[in-house]
Amino acid sequence: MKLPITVFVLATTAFATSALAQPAQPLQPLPPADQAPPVQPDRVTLGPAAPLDNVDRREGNWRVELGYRGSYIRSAGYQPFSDNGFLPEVSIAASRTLFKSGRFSFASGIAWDEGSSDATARGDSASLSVQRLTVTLEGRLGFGPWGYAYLRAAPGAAMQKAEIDDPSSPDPLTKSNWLFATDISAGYAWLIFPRWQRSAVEPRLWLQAEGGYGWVAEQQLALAPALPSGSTERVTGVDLGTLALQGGYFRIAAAVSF
Amino acid sequence: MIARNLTLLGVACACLMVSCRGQSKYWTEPVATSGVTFGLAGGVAVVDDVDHRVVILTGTADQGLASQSFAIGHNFASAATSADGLTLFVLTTGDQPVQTKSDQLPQLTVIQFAPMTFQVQPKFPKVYQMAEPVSNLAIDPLGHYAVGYEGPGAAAAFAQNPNEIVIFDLTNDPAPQPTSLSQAAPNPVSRSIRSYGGTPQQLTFSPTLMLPANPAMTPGVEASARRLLLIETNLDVSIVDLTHAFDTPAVIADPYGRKEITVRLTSGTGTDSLSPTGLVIDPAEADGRIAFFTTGDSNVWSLQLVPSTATPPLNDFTPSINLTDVGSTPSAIQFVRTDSGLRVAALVPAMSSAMLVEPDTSVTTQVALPSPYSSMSLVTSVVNGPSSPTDVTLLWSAGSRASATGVALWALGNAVGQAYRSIEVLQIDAPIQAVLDVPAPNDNLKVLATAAGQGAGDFYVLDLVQRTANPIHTTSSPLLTIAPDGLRMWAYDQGFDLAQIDFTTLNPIPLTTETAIAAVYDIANPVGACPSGMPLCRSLVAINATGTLGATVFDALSPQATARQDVALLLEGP
Repeated sequence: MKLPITVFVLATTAFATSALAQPAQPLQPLPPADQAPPVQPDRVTLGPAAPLDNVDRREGNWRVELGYRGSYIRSAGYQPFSDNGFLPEVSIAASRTLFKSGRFSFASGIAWDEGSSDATARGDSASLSVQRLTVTLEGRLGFGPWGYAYLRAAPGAAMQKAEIDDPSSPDPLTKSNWLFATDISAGYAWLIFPRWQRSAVEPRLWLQAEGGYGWVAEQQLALAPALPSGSTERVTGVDLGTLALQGGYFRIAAAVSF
Repeated sequence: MIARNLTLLGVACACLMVSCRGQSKYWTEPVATSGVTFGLAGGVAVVDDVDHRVVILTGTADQGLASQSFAIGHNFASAATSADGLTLFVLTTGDQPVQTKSDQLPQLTVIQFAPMTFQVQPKFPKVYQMAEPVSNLAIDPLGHYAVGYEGPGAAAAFAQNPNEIVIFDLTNDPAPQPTSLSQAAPNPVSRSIRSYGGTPQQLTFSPTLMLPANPAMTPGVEASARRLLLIETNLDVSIVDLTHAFDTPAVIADPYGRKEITVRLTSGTGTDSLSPTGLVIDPAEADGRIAFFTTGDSNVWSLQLVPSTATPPLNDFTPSINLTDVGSTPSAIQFVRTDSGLRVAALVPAMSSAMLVEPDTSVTTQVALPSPYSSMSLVTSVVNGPSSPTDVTLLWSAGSRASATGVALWALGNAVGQAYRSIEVLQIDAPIQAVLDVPAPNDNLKVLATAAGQGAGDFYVLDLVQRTANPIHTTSSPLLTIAPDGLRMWAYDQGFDLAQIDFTTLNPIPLTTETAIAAVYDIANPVGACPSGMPLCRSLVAINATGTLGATVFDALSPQATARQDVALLLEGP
């Protein structure tokens, strides 16, 4: 798993490097000195209605993302639920830039990933659904109109629900619980439009891609039928071993900043 | 530039995709749950062919099931248990055809368990490898031998010799094929029995016999203890001397053991095809007698294995054959001891009679029966005691189209002299489908299963001493299982209904399960797996053959309100 992650990070770094290597764009004519606005410090106070000036505000203050996350799980406990070890998820995230200094900035927000996987396990229908709620902590390095690279840590919690429908059981065998989860990733956000109005506070569209490693605490998959309350049946479930939703992942997303 | 970046991104994703791990065969292939459970004395064996293992389920104190797994070979063919329920035999055909060194040869896996703890015995499992696959297994009731054969059904390989049998000496460890005659014989040994067009259909192990019989007939001949394997093909009968089956041949290319004797049933001048059936062996050690009859023919064949002048590798005995016409096709035969000596009793339903055949002279005595009974079994030790000089047989008519109802006791003590006084009828208003033996301490009982649809689902508990037949009514035609400890029986209908019948009270205790019952096994819990204060206990395991196999477990001794379901028994991680 290390190799693919390394390659992915190299790829995202290549994005950044190529952004730096772009030929310089023709400079916009500066306004006359007497019309020049007061010089602003590079560190800005962020607000909803920043004045039109020479400050690069392309990252925006707020950011909303909608994307697709694919995780590669090598845990033996995941095999009953997937025929290829892949876990697809939908990602929704929102963040706000809290700090900016030169090309560097820091943003924080929340992210929600939701996905599921189905497979046939020894002839039974098996499914695993995951909901992951994390707090994102993101450091960004801006490259002007070419977007920015970022490193993201996202601690949080994941709710896993495993279910197997075995005809020998009176009810489907299930187990669900919340577990500690963390993602570490690196990525690149590419500014699509508009790219050149660096100071304008306006909605901007981004495409971004990241790769990283997702970690969810292990759990023992002791599945049991969900009997109705008050049932006097004595039913022994089945132990599928340990499930650890851990492994490399990628995420591609579209984002809007404003 | 964008294209280059996208290419790099694609390469990264492709690498991640390559790192994906697909499902193993364990998960992708469904579990076979039909015909894969086998009852042992202290557990239930479940063959999981996909995972090349057998899972042994044992009872726990709270009606749970503990499991332990043992590896078996590839491609399960058949399994059997020993008479005492302590040994499991699993036959696998291996990877056919063998193409690489990692492909597996056919093998027999033998797993033996300790009587009380039901822990696997030291040195077990034992794996006996074979050169060619076979599909069926016959187990010696005395536990000395096992024999693999192809038998009826599909061949295990593309091209196969159906007359090859594989003899395993279960008292010795597996041994490979030697490279020289000075080395020990292999275990197992394979041989191809002589064939005149027939193939083995039914294998019977003899008790210990002193052979040749009547050694005094030939000077210098001494009898010695032998075990025989009697092979009924669809055209003839072969006799293999198991005691000498591992004798070293004179030339290494020759098969091990003494050559078999083939009793041809057709003269070679006609086109009639006669198949042997109903083979029985005289249990008297010194007599060396075998009898059988053939389908569609009225003759009873009686053989005595008398001295031969042949020298090894030929046998030192040869069959002396008597054919006796009993008037019509018999349905069952048995060696019986009568007031006039040893006879072959043959039931002839078409004549509503039994014929007693003197095996040496072919003199017959006809005994008229009150009904055209078609089946019989010896019940001498129960009715007259083990030291009785003459036999008692239980007669009944088997099969759903049987024309006789009820059962009868046939006392052979006066069968030849006063045949009309030898039959005692126990009236039961339904044809009997099967007679089930009850082990000691209730071996005076027989359970009579009636034919489906003709007895309204009744079955009877027959007391051979009291001459009583207690009916038990059920709402459907049940399947019956006798507990190995002889204290109770179980009736179930492959639905959700189950009943325990204690042989002391004959009072049925109705039970129900949440899932359909495919089979039930009354097993002893291992020592230490009983509720506190109970040194011994038993579990009733009702198998549900759906999904990945489930079971409902009851306390077999006091089953009410003790049910616990164990679900998805073969679903646990590999």
